[in-house]
Amino acid sequence: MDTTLSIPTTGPRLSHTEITNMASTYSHEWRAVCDKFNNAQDLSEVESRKDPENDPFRSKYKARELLREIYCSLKNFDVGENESVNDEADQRPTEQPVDGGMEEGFGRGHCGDSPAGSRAAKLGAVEYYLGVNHVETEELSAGEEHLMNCMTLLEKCSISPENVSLFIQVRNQLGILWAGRDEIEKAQGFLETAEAMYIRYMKEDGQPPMDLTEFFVAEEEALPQQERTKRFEMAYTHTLYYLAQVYKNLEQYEKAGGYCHSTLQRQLEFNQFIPLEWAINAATLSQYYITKTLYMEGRHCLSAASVIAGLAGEVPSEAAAQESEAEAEKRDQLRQKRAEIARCWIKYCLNLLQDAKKLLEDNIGELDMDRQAELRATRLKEEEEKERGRKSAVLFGSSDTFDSICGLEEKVSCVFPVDFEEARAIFLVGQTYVNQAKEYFEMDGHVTDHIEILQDHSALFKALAFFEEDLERRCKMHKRRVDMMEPICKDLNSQYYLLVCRQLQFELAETYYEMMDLKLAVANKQDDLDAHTVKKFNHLCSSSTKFYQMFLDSVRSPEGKWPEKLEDEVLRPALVAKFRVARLHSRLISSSKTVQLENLNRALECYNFVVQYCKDNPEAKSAIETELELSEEMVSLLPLKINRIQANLASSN
Amino acid sequence: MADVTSECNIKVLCRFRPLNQSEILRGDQFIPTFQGDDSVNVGGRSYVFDRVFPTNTTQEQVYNACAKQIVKDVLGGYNGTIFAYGQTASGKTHTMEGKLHDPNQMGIIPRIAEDIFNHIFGMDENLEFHIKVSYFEVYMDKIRDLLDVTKTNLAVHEDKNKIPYVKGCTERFVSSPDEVMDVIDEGKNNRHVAVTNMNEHSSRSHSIFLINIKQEHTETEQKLCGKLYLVDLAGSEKVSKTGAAGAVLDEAKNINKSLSALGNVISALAEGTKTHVPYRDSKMTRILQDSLGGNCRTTMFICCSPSSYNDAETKSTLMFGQRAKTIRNTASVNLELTADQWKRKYEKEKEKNKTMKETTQRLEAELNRWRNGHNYI
Repeated sequence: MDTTLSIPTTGPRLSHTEITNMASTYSHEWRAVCDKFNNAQDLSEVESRKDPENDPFRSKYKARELLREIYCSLKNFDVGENESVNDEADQRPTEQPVDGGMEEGFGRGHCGDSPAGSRAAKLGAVEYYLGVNHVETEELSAGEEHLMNCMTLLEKCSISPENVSLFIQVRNQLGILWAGRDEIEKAQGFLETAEAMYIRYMKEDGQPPMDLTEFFVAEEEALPQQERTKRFEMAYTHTLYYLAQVYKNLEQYEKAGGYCHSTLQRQLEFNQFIPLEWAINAATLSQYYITKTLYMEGRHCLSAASVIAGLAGEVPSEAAAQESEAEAEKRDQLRQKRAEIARCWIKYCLNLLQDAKKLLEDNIGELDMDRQAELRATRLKEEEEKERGRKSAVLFGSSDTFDSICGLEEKVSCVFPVDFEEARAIFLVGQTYVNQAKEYFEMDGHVTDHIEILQDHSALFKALAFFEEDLERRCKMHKRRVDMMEPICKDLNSQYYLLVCRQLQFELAETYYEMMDLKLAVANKQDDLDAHTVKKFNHLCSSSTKFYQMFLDSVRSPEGKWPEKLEDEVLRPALVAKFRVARLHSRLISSSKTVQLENLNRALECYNFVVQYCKDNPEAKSAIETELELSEEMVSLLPLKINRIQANLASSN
Repeated sequence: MADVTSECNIKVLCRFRPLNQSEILRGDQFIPTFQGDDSVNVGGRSYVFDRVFPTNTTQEQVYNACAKQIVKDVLGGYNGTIFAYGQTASGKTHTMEGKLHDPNQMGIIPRIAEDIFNHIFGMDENLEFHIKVSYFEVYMDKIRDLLDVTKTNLAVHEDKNKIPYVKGCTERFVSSPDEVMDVIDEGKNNRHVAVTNMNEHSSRSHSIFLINIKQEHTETEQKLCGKLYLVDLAGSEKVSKTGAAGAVLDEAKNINKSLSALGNVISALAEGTKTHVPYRDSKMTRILQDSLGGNCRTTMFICCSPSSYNDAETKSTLMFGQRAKTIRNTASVNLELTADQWKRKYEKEKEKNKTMKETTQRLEAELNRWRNGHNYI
């Protein structure tokens, strides 16, 4: 198939003139058509907003009538003048064109800007508007028919600056239509063709094409080139945006992400964006990149988000907000959105630390020196080439924002930290954003959000602690976690915030447990257990136990009864909590044999619980395999130890 | 309290309206075939719900089958929510409101109002009731008070002792079903006030009628509080535009035409446990937070047109209903250390204990030797 565009490269190219000339003999009628079109546009876009609820499409229906009249007039215009075209337009093929091949529409039939081509495009445009009108009034089948008529008319033309916009926009509409009917592949076909047409047109021609509305305006009202470009590029931005949605629905997330990114990029490039909205979108896109461990892209999105959000202006003062409602709203919006962006930054820092930790830890969760050396080496090697290669593809920003975006990027690394110093730098950035986010998401008014931020803060400390070699200092970091969570856990109404309370209880229990472990390790190094250390150790043990117990109590019914069967969400946590309570009891240090006995008995009781529960509910086994195995072992071993102490106790009495 | 299951997934009920006059005149086909009382076949595919109501179901039958229990629950101190979902002109308003003052044709809301007061009259005389109602709408993430049109941007407030509530919205005390109706009439009239694009507005806004019941036992001073949310969701063909109720209702496979919804697409990609996704429609989500999880009694009505003309929309509405059935509150406790790591840590400790035990035994043996009077000097 001949696929070159049949546009003359020289000579007059604006077919708009031709349209008017063509209709010059009917100039009166032509003017009437243009007026009707303007009316229809006005009814459809402006008047329709004021339609009453019980007649919501009144103006759209009126617009539809006008469009139908235009269609008839157009058909009558050229009778006699261009008989053959008219015939063709009437003989609609029984088979409707369906997109699939990318070559569709290229180099077919008559030249795009020949009189016949112009006429087909004009009729096509009316069909297009009729199609959109029917879709908007919820008559999808009729809408589809009109849009397909437009496709049929265009099928006979080659692409030209006059019709390329119509070529693309009719496919955009058909894409939307078919996606709405859950036929995504069909939608994909139309949209991908539109994309290919744009790329090809820009490569082979590229001059600003005519806008659809220009089919029906007087010559002197033709749009300036700049406006033409703007509208055409906007139509294509929509194509990409629709493709992003289609790929998302097809679960091709990587492609969808790429198309979202391009959409954002084009919004900036053509200056068609609302700063706060754009910033939130870019910040959210960073979160997608984080899930794919693409930290450089994530950081770029976040930096752009922060800079563009800055374009939305200063936050009005509290005083100003009290004076005027508009200022109050603006203040709230700006503060909220900036706090949201800060929260996205927190997640960036947190995930970067946590992912590095995963790469560096050995099989018991400690820093592995070999892996550390390995990561340091690979990082050096890959870093530069990779960054440069990836970076050029995804850049945001205009000339005036670009430097600020880069400046912000430099403030935090996008490669995995390998040691404490590097981890600390990332941690500190994260912590700054925690404080920023908390300013808006205060406890009073935003409980859930506030606590989520605190949990992230705690997680930042936890991740940082992994990199800290000094055990005492590591312990202090965990202490900070306890200090931020414990008061809130006690304060919160557990009836309404059951899930949050459970999360906090569990995390506190685990943190105390961790601290207890660390204290023990420190004591072991020192080789002597003084009374003070023992006291501290025991305190940590009982604190951990206390929070596990609180968690376990939350599973009980309001009457205090333990459920016969644990619900899925709490099955594993509850059994793990029991298991750890058992461990904690067996680790308490006491010089009194009676107390030792008591603790061991309590531990045995808890181990027994886990074993017995899994016996009664075999389906629970898979959820807690390892702990069950250890519990069974302890159930067989502990009685021996208990007996020994008992014997000892008896003999000493 | 009868029939209160501990699980809280949503009850989804599907209702088909009859063909209307113009559809009959146009010669539209009647497409659904009903099978049993819980499934319907459309276009060769079977959709199963908790209940399916064929076109001849009366308003009373619908109410008795689905909404009546919720009134009891709310009087028992639970929170309940009833949603209506469906394309424009599929019978949502008929189901929720019906003809407000017609005993046969009235919908769920007026029936609930009557039922609440009937229950109250039959209850212990020592119980004192305070019933308050509010009526507001959510449009473009702004909450507008329908009982006081000067309040156009209310906030959702959450504090440590309460579930989220709309701060500063008008609360009317009511003492009879008629008063409830008056409030509804008033609110409905206000929906039209000061709206620039009525058309878009009504199809993209969600209206929420809230009944708040507080009871206090005059002798024991025991208090009980229940809330009932009645939610008329934006037309289903438009829901994806507004991204109603956050991620939950934003699953339709429609393409959003407007770039203003780019955020919804990106959010869908970014979701996950590791990320923070700023909500678009955060207010709607926060108000309904408690209804979509936690301590809730939630019923969703899926309203459909039977006409072949609406075939595609009906299918997508039914699909939505199927997805809604699977909604569960997934938030749960984070468990970070994996079982494997635990085991290894434990084994490492055991090893350490073993060597320590050996050392102790050695030392003890030595000590014993000393005690026994061995003298190495």
